[in-house]
Amino acid sequence: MSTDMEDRLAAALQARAELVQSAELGHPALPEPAAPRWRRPAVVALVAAATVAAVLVPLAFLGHHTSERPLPNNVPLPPDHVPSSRFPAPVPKTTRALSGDVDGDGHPDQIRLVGRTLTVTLAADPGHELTYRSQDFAGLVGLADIGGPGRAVFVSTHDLVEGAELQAIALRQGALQLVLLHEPQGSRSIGVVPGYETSWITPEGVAMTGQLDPMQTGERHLAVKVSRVEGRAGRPVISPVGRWCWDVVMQDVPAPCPAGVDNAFDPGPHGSLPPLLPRTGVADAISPNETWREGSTALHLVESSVHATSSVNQAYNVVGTIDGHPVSAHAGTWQVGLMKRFVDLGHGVRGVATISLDNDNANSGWTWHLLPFVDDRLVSPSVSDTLYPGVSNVVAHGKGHAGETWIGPDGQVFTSVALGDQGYVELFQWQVTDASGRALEAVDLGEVCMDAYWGTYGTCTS
Amino acid sequence: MPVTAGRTLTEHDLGELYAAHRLQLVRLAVLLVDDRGQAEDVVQDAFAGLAAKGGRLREPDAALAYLRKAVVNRSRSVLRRRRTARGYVPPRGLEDARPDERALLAEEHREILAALDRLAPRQREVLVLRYWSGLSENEIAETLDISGGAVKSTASRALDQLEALLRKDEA
Repeated sequence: MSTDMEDRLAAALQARAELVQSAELGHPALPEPAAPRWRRPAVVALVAAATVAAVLVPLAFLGHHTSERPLPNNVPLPPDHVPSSRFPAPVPKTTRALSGDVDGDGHPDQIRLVGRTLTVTLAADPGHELTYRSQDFAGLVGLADIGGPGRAVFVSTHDLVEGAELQAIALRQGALQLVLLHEPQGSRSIGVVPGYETSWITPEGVAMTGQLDPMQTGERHLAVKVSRVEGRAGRPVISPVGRWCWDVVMQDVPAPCPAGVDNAFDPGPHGSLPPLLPRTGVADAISPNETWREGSTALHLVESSVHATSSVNQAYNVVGTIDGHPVSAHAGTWQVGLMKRFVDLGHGVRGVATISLDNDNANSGWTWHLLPFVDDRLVSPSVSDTLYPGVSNVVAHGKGHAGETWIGPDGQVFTSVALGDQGYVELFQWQVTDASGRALEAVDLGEVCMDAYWGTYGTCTS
Repeated sequence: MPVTAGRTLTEHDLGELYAAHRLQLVRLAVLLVDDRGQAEDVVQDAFAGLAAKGGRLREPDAALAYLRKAVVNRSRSVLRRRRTARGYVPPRGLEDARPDERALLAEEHREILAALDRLAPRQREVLVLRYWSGLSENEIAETLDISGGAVKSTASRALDQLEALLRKDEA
């Protein structure tokens, strides 16, 4: 450690922090308490009474809370984004003619799309046509309030690589103009993009948009982070509404999740799956110089007697007592942590878990070391079935396929390997092959749909 | 904001806390999660959590400490979830900061922040709380739920590793 290093670090942190200025922040108001609004009694009762779709829910009940999952808000589609075949691919329903109040005089105006030209004939001035032309116009979607005197016409365009953008065209200063929708991070339009976003207009004239939750997407059931467009101080603002569910077979558009439903995967039973969530992960490990105590067990991490020239190569042992018996075993190298609970390794064997980075490559991910406690001592088992060849004692994430390892609520150790779509994983459970604890194997529990953020999982039906 | 000991937090107290400390807490979260939007959500959630339990906070004077702890914990959750969703959401390290933000940082600062990004989450938390928030060892220990000794050793090792990573990058 050097003073120079500390100074450089402090300066870098200060420089980064100062890039965030108060005037640029969203959320100008103190938030409401963090209870999901759709689970509050009034809303639950409302949802129970409403039998079908979101459009039947009075919008007065839609809130602006922010306790939802931090979805990749406002992140453009990745360049290599390929919609999964599992995702539904909604397309906006369009027409070539509509009627509605564009100028706010209370009388329906006539709206047509002729070729690529949007034409509005005001009831107040039938002899005069207002026009707006765009090469990308493909069809009329509907009219919605966006905070002006009349309603805006939403026009579907084809200027996205895939899907459609819904552009708002409104009457401003006597002419039709494109209006961008505001949100804290900037301005944007809304759209319908398979596997990513859906948008619609309610019969009451509210433009809605929803980001599909990448972690909960089934062939039929999806979770959607829904926002609505509303007028504030005369300008259109995209405001968060909440997490809704979407049964694409039964519902044209997303709706508040039915009472008690927290799983938007295609329905799948837990079946014979062991309890997977909530989980204990690497963030719950203790560091060297801390001690985990539980009954007559006290364990901590110490540097191995073989001192390395660099901290990166320094090995650590887990030492102490288990049930009063002195124990010691290799715990890993660099960034070593000790999980503060026993793990269940099957065959009546419990053990201790440590984590480490184990080499000087910070991007390689954590390696888990599972140490069975057998015959009053810790055993370093061989791995008879490795997920990631080349990594000792298995269970790393960051190698090969994206994987994640954790301890379930009953102490079992699981590794999930991501399949093609987010939320769909191949699940493995780590067990000793027999009561001697000398060998570990990864038992394949099959494909599981899991969302740790919402604490929900089950078998997948697709 | 002066919250008088012995009484519960009122909505007014919370409003004052929000006005006085939101920016610093968002900056803290940005340093932990490297993403402004998520940092704002983290802080908003922390205040929402405090609002939900405002009247029941055992020590109203500790409201700021509670918020700081909530921000650290929620930032940790963001990082955990980001790992889970890595296949969908590109990792948002410094390289994913807004282009104008990148351009505003000096090369030396960028290097250090990139190295900081490669440390273990707890090491990063300790360094940020110590060298940016300016917290004492006891305050860091309280925020992270670890011992004072662990704060000291974690900071020391984290600085060593930061230095090693920078040397390695330079080589």
